[in-house]
Amino acid sequence: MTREEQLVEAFVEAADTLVDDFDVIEFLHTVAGRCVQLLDVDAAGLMLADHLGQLHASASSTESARLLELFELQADAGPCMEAFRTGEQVVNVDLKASQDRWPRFAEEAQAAGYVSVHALPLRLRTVVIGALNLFCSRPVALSEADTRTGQALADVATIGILAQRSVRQSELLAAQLQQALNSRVGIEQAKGVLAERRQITVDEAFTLLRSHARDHNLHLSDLARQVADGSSTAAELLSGPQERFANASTPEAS
Amino acid sequence: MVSNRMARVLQLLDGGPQRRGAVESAAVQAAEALGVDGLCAGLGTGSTGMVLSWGCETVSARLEELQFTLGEGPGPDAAAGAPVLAADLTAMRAHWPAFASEAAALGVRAVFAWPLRIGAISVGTLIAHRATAGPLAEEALADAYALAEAVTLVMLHQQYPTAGLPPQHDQASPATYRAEVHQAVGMISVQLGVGLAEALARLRAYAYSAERPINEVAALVVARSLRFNELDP
Repeated sequence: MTREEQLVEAFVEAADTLVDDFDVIEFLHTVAGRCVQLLDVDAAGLMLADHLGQLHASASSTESARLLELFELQADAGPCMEAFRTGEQVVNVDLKASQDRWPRFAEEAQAAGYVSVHALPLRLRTVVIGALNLFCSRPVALSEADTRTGQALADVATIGILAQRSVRQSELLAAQLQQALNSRVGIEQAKGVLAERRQITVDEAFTLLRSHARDHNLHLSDLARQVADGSSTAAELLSGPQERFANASTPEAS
Repeated sequence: MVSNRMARVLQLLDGGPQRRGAVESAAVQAAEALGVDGLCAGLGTGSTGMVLSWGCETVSARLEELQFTLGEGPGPDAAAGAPVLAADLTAMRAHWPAFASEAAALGVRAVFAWPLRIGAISVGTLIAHRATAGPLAEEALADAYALAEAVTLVMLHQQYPTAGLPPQHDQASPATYRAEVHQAVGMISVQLGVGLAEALARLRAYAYSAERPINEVAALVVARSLRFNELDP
């Protein structure tokens, strides 16, 4: 498939999702994945702001602990916080030259192998609700075309958050953001429950949750809530296939 | 972005068991900060009804009773997961046919409700009412979320008390929890065979008595260096 065809497919997929019944966290993960596929970057993540203006990682192209750590670090200072506060794009920032601007973040991002970082605001008219974070491990600048495409993907993510069906009085942005943030928390709780039950890593648990939700046409957030609060009856998810033995040696912590 | 008034309320809620009176009077100040006439946080959700837990002056206690009796209202709706902001009760006649008219008879013109929860941990709902119609001010909305979070911890503390442990809002509000905290809560709930709410209470109690930040303890749990089913009882 040519890049153009990929682009078209990505936007058709987004449009189809938005007009149908969908799960917001699953959707944001798809957007993050598309960013890596369509733009010349190696990792992507979406951060959403809570009622205190603090950013929280809500979806990423990979669940690697290292990457998530880089999101968390930006709570104090980083490209995402800048993009969120100013509503402006923060593009093509050389991490080596950013030690003063973002001391902790620049150091950790480079240690993780990234060379440049970009942040695009998630904004609707005058309100900024978060930022799209892009990481590149090669010294390649984000082209103008990629910046526009990236911003369009960020805008699509913003629309997705606002389109959540389950929130009454949907004109209230704050309520929808709270809903999305709380869904993410539920997913983290479910990851823990599943990881402990099946003696796997939380990353593996997330993969299982996501594929089970897809295979059974469930909302990821609903499934997560059920797994977390113990009301799920999905035996094959909770206990694994019959051939797996529960007394396998404890896996390495990631 | 919490107002100064609400910040003072949150400080009152921080108090431990010895400051019980302060926690109760915080409800009055919280109502003032939000621009409502009264509020009430109820413990428990669903058909078992609400055990009133915080605030709950005459009118809001009556509203709670009504919701339970009639099986409809802002509380039950909020328990489903999303805040309910009914600035004008008369516009809700179709949605809550019985509740809207009974509440109006009490002199209530606006009701607001928020779920009290942390992910899949559902502790209860927070209801607020006003005798005049009109939406909450934008600042009040941000205040309300901060309040809901603090009250959630207060009620969690009431459900699973640990000697000497304050609600700990100032030290570690859920907004500062890293993903690992929520993951650890899930793991601990399986390790101890308890619900998520109790798992969170146990995690917070451990961090407090070990004098370590909750994020740090959670990281140990997720790395499987610390297992709650292997701790001394």
